[in-house]
Amino acid sequence: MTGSGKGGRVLRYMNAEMLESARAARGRIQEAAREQVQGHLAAMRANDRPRAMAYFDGMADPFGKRAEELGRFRASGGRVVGTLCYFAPAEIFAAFGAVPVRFCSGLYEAVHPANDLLGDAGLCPLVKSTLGLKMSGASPVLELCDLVVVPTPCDAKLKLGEILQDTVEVHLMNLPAVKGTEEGRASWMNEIKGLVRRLEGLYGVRLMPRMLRKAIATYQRAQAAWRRFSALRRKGGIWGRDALLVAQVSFHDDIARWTENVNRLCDELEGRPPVAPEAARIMLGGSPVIWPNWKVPLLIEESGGIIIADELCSGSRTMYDPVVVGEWTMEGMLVAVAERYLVPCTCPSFSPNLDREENMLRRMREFGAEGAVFHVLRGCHLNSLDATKANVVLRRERLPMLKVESEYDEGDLEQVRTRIEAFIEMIRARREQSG
Amino acid sequence: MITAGIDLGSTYVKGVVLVDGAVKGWGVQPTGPDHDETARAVLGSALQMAGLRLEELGYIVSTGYGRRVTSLAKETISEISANAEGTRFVARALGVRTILDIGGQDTKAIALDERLNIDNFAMNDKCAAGTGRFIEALAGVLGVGIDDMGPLSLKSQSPLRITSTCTVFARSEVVTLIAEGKPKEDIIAGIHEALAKRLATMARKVGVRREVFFDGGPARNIGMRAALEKELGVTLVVPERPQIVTATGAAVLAAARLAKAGGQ
Repeated sequence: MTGSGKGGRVLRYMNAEMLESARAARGRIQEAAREQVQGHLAAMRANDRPRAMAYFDGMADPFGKRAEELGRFRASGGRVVGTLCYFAPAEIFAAFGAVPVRFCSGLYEAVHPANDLLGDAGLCPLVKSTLGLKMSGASPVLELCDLVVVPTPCDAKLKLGEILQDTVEVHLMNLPAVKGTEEGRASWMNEIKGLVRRLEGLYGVRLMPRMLRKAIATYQRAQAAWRRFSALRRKGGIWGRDALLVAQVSFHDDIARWTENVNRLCDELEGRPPVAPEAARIMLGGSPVIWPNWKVPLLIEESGGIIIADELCSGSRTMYDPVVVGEWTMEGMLVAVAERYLVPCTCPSFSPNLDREENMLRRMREFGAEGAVFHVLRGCHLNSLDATKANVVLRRERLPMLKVESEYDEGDLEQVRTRIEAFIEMIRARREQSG
Repeated sequence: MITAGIDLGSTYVKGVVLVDGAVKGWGVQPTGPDHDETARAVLGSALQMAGLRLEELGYIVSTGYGRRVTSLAKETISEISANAEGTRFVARALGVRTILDIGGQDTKAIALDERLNIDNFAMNDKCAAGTGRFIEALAGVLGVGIDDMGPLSLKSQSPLRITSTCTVFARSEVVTLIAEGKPKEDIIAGIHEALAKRLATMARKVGVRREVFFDGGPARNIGMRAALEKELGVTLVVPERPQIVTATGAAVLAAARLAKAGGQ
C-alpha cells in the first residue's frame, strides 16, 4: 500500500499514520536535543576551557541559531543540500553555491520514530536516529534541503538512503569497497561526475572551473586551519570533547566563518598550558561519535583521561586532508576532490584497510597516546570487525586498546564507565611502573 | 593502619576491614534498594567482626557497580583494578596470571603481566548472559537452592546441552527439559557447562596463562569450578573466600593511599 507524503512524494515504505505519529514526536525530539546540548555544554564549561570555544557552543544546538540562519538563507533563495557521510564532497556542493549540511544524527530521542518502521532490530542507532529525524521533521534544516546525498559505505546507510526516498529527494553515491585499485578509483570518479550532473540538473547551472576552483580554495583554508588545530591538540591545551565539537560544528556552519573561528581558537591555544597534564592520553577511534551523543568522550574525560587525538570520521577526518590539485583544469580538480574523499579515508567499509591500523599507530606515537578507546555503535559490524583487527595490531606494539560497544541511550552508562575507568587505571598503573 | 573496602555489586554488597595488612573482618549482604544503607550495614558487620568502630577507619575505598552512590568512601576504584589488587593480596606467591570473575551482572577476564599489573581485560555484554544472575535465575526455575547447585551437578553422568546463554531463552530451555523429565543433576551440569564455555571464550580473548585464579560468588560453586576446569584444561586457584576478593582489593588500595598520605 502506498500513500503520499509531503511534496507529493509517494510513500512506498512508510504510511501516513506512521508519519503522523513521528511528527507528533517532533517537539519532544527538539526539547530533548536542547536539554542534552545544554547539559553537555554546562558540563564542558565547568572545566578550564579556551575562551574561543564560546563561538562553537553558540553553534552547538542543531535546531538553534544556525538553523534559523539557514532558514533565512533558504528563504532568500539560498541552496542547502543534506549529506549523510564523510564521503559527500563538500567542495562540489559549495561550487554550486549550496551549503552542505551533514545530518548523521546523534539524538537518542529521534531513534523512536524510526523504530516504528524498522523495529528494534539491532540496527545502528546513528542510522535509526537519522531516519527518525527525517520522519519526525524535527530538524528544520533537513526539511528545507533540496536533496540529500547518501554515500553507501555500509549496509545500514545503503538501506537508509533507500527508505529516506519516501520523504525526500535522495542521491545515492556508490562507494567502492576496494579503494586501492585503479578500478576502485575510476568508479568513485564516476560517482563524483554523476553527482555533478545531478546538481547541474537540479539547479539548471553548468559547473564551470572557476566555481569549483573557488570552492576548493575555501575548503583548503578550512583544512589548513583544522590541521593547525590538530597539531596544537598535541600540547593538551584543549579537551577532546571540545575538539570534537569544533569538528562537528563544521557539519552545518558557514565554512569561511568556521575557519576564522578555528584559527582564532588556534591563536589562543598557542600559548595555553595543558588542561590536564596528568591525564591518561587517549586516542578515540571507531564508529562515529556524533553530537550530542557525547557519552564516550565525556566518560573518558571524567575518568582521568584526555582524548588527545582521534581517528573518527566525525572528528579529525572531517577536515584533516587537503584537496591537492595537480592541474587546475575541470578534470584535474574533480580528480583531486575524488581522491581527497577516497584515498585517505579509513572507513571500515574499505578492504583491505591497513591504512586505518597504520594511521592509528602513527597518530598514537605522534600524539604520545598511551592507549586507544575503540568505540563501536551496536549494530556496526564493520567497526566491530576493525576493532578486533586494531586490537591485535596495537597490542603487538604494546599499545593497550579498549573496545567499547554502546548505543545512544543512557542505559549502559555505568557499565561503560566501569570499563573506561578500569582501562585508564590500567594505563596509569603502567605509567607508574615504567616512570 | 585500619582501612576498609566496600564492593557494591549488583546482587551483593561486600565489605572488608583490613588491619595492618591482614583481613580482620568482612560482611556480605544482598544488595537492597538503598545501596548506601546496605553498604553501611555490611561495613557495620565487618567492623563488628574486627572489634572496631567506624571512627577507627583511616580510609575507605569503594568499588563495584554502585561505587559512586555510597557516601562512606573517600575514593572509588573500578572493580577490575580492585579485583587485581585483591588477587595480588590473597595469592601473591601463587604465580597468578589470569583472573576469572563471575559477578552478578558482569563477568570478567583479567590478564596480569609478569609484575602482576593488569595487562588486558574483557567483560561481558551489558545483558545477564553468562553472569551469576544466569545461574541464579535457572536455580529458581529448578527449585534448587543456589548452594546446592554445585554438589548436585557433580552427580551428573551425562550433562545436557543448554544451547542459549541468554538468561531468558535458557530459562525456557530448562523448563522444557524439566517437562521432559530429564534429571535435575544433568540439567544443572549443562547450565554450568554453558556458562563455562562462555567464560572460557572471554578468557581466551585476553589469553589464558597459568595460574588461573577464579573468584566472585559463583566460584564457591564446586560444579561451576569443575566445568570451567574441564573447559580450560587447567586447575583453578580458588581463594578461601572468593566473594570478598574485590572488596579486599579496595581495602588494600585504601591502605596504600593512607600510607602514601603518611597516615596511621
